[in-house]
Amino acid sequence: MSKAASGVRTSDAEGIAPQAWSDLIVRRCGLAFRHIRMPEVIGIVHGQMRARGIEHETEYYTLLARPGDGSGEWDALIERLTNHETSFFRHPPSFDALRLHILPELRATRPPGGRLSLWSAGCSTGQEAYSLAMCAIADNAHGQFTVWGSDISHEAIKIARQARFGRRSISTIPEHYRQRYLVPINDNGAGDFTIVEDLTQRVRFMGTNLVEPDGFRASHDVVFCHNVLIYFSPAAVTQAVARLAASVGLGGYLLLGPGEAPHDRPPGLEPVIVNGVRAFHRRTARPMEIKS
Amino acid sequence: MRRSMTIKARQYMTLGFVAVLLAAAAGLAAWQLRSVSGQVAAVDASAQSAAKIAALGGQVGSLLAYERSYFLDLARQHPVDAALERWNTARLAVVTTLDAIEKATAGSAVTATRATLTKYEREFASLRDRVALEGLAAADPEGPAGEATRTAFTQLTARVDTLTADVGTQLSAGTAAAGAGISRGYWMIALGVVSAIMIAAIGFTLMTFGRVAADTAALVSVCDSVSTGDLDARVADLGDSELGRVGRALNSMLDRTARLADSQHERDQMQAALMKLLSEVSGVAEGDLTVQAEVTSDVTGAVADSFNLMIVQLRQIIGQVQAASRQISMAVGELRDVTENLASGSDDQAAQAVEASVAIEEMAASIHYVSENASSSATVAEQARANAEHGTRAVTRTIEGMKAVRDQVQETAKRIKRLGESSQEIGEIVELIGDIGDRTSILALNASIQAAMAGEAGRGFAIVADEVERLADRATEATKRASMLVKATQSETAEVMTAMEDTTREVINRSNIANEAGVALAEIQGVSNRLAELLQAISDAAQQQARGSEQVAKSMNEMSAVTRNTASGTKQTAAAIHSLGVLVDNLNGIVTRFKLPAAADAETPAFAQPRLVASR
Repeated sequence: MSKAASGVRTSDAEGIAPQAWSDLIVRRCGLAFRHIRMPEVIGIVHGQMRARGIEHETEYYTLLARPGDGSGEWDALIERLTNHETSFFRHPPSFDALRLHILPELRATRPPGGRLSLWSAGCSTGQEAYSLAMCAIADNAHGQFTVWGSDISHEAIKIARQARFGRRSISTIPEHYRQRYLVPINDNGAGDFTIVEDLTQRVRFMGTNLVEPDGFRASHDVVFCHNVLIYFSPAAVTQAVARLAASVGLGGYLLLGPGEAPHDRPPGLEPVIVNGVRAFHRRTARPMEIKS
Repeated sequence: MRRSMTIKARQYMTLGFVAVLLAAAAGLAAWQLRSVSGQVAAVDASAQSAAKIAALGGQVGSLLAYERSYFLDLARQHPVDAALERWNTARLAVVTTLDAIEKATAGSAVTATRATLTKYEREFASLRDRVALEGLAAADPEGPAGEATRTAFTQLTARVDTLTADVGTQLSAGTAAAGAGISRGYWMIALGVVSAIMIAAIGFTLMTFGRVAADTAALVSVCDSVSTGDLDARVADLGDSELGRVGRALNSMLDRTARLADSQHERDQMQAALMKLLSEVSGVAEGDLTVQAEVTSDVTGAVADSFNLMIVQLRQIIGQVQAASRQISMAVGELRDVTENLASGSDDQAAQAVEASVAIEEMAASIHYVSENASSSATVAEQARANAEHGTRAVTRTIEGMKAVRDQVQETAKRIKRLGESSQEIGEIVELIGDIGDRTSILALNASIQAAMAGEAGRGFAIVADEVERLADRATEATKRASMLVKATQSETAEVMTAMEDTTREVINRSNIANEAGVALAEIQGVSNRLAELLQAISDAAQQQARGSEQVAKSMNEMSAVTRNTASGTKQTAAAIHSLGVLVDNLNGIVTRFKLPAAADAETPAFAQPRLVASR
C-alpha cells in the first residue's frame, strides 16, 4: 500500500473525515462535490459500505484506497455518485455549429470516402451520441462515420446501448429528425421509441474514465464534451481537457459545454468561434515557426 | 287372562310368577353349591397334604439327628435307649405322615418312599448290630461300616425330596381343577338365575302386549273410520284398563265432533279464499312486484286491498332504490376513471419530479462551475489591473526620461550654436591676421627695396626684411589653413545643429507616443478594475444562484417524496373506489331481483343527478 493511502486522516477512532472521502473520490475518479452535497455523498458511501457487508469506515476506506480496483467497488460507487442527466440536442447552438459549419468543412477537406469519427465524451445514457449521429447522417447520408459514446457509468452505457427512450425524452429532437430516425416500440404500451438501425449500428459505446489514462487513443474529427467538466475538480479538468485535446485529430474540433471554459487552454488547440459557439480547433497545417 | 284385569294387576301377577322362578333358580343354585363345597373340601385336603409334606422333610432330618445322637451316646458310654426311643418316635411320625400323604394323594410315590425308609431302617439296624457285636471302633458309623447306612439315608432324603416335588405338583393341579370347578359352579348358578328371569320377562311381555295390541287395533280401526269421514264409528267396551278408558274418551269426543260438523262448510269456503289470495301474492316472496291481488267481496277482499296498497308503495321504494343504485354505479364508474387517471398522472409526476431534480442538480453543478470560473477570472482581471498600473508607472518614468533627454539635447544644440558663432569670430580674426600678414609682406618688400638702395649699409637690414617677409608668408599660409578649418567647423556645426533639431523632434515624438501608451495603460487599468468588479458581481450572482439551485434541488427532492406519497395515496383511493364499485354491483344485483312493471321507472321521482366534474 502506498504511503498516501495508509496515511488516512481519521476524524475519530472509527470514522473517516468527510474531507478524506472527498479527497479519495477526487483522486480516483476526478469527481468533486460541493460542500453542501458532502453529507449526501457520505450517505451514499455508507450505503454502499453496508451493502458490501462492511461495518467500519476505516476498513472500507482501505479497500477503496487500494491501488487498482478488482472488486468493482468503485464501479458500484460511481453509479450512485454520478448524475445521468442528459437530453437529445442539449445546447442546440453546439449542434448548429456542427451541422452548419464543422461537418461541411470536414466534408470539404477530407478525402472522398474517408470515415469521420465523432466522440461524445461523457455521453451518459446516449442521447448526445445519437444526436451527433443524426447530424452526421443528415449531413451526408452515404458518408461513412462512427460515433463513439463513452461514460464512466456502466449502467448508463447499458441504457445507451438499448437505445430505448420515452416520449418525453425525445421531445427535444427536431421534428424532421424525429420522423426519420425514431421508431415507436409497441410492446408494453409505455409509448417508448427506439432509434433506427441505420443509426444504431454506427454508434459504439464504451465505459471510460476521462481522468484515467487508458487505451482509448483514437484521433477524432469532432469531440463533444458537454456538462462533464462541471463535475470535476480543477486538476481533473486540466487532465481531462488534455486528454480530450490529444484525441482531436488534424483539422478536428473540440466542443465543450457552455460555461465549461477550462482554466488552461487545451494544449495544441486554438480557440475559435464557430457559428457563435466557442470551440477549439487543431489546424490542418502547423503554423510556421517564427525564428528569432 | 281376564280382559277386565288392569295392566297393574297383570304386572303384580307377573311379579309373583317371577318369584316362583327365582325360588326354582335358588334350588338349582343350592344343588350346584353342594358340588362346589365337595371341590372346596378337596382343595382343603390338598392344603393339609401340603402341610404334611412340608413336615416330612423335617421329620426325616430328625431321624438322622437321633441316629447321630444314638452313636454319640454310645461313644460316650451313655445309655442309648433314650436316643433309640426318640429315633423310633421320629420314624413313626414319618410313617404316619406318609400314610396321611398316601391317603390324600393316592400316589405310588409314597410306596417308593416307604421302601427307601425300610431300607434305611434295615441298614441302621444292621449297623447297630455290628456295633453291638464288634464294638464302636470296629463299626465306625463315620467309616466304611456306616457307609451303607449313609447311602440308605441319602436315598431316603432324595426320595422324600422327589415325593415333596411330585406331591406339590399333584396338589397344585388338584387345587387348580377344584378352583375351575368352583368357578364353573358359580357360572352355572348365575346362568340359572338369569335364564329364569329372562323366561319370566318374556312370558310377561307376551301376555301383556298380546292384550294391549288387540285393544289398540280396535282403537285404530275406529280412528281410521273417523278419518275417512265416518263420524258414527265407536269403540267397543274394552273394560277398565287404560285403553278401555281411552276408548270411552274417544267415543265421547266423537259424539261432540259430530255436533260441530255442521260449521265445517263455512270454514272450507274461507280456506279457499285464503288459498287464492296466497297464490296471488306468493310471487312477491321471489321479488315479483308486478302481482296484484283480486279485491273480492268476501272477508279476504279487505286484506287484498291493503296488500295491493302495500305493493304499490313497495314498488315505488324499490324503483327509487334501483334508480339510485344505477346512478351510484355510474358515478362510481366515473370516479374510478378519474382516480385511475389521477394515479397514472401522479406516477408520471413522480417520475418527472425525479428527472427534474436530476436536471436541477446538473444545473447547480454547472452554476457552481461558472461561479468558480468567474471567481478565478476576477483574480486574473485583478492581475491585469495591477500589471497595467505597473506599466503606467513605467511609461511615466519613460516620458520623464525622454523629457530630460530633450532638454539636454536642446542645451547641447544651444552650445553648439554658440560654438558656431565663436568660430565665425575666429574666422574674422583669422582674416584680420591674414590682412596683417599681407601688409607685413608688402612692408618687408618695401624694406628690402630700401635696404638695396642703401647698399652695403643696408645689407643687414635686407636680411631682416627677407626674414620678415618669410614670416609674413607663413602667417598668410597659416591663416588660410585656419580659415579653411573654421569654415569646415562651421559647416559641421550646422550639420550637427540640423541633426540636433531632428533628434529633438524625434524625442518629442517618442515622448508623445509614450504619453499615449501611458494614457492607454491608464485606460486598461480602469477597464481591468471595472472587469474585476463585474466578474466579482458575476461570481457573487453565480454563487447566489448556486445556493438558490441547491434550495430548488432540495425542494424538488421533497416534492418528489410528497408526489410519491400522493401517488400511493391515489392508488389506495383507486383501490377503495374499486371495492366500492364491487359493492355497488352487488347492490345492483340485489335490487334487480325485484321485478317492476314496465312503467315503474317513469313513476320513479327524479333524483338530483350527482355530477362529477373530472378535470382531465
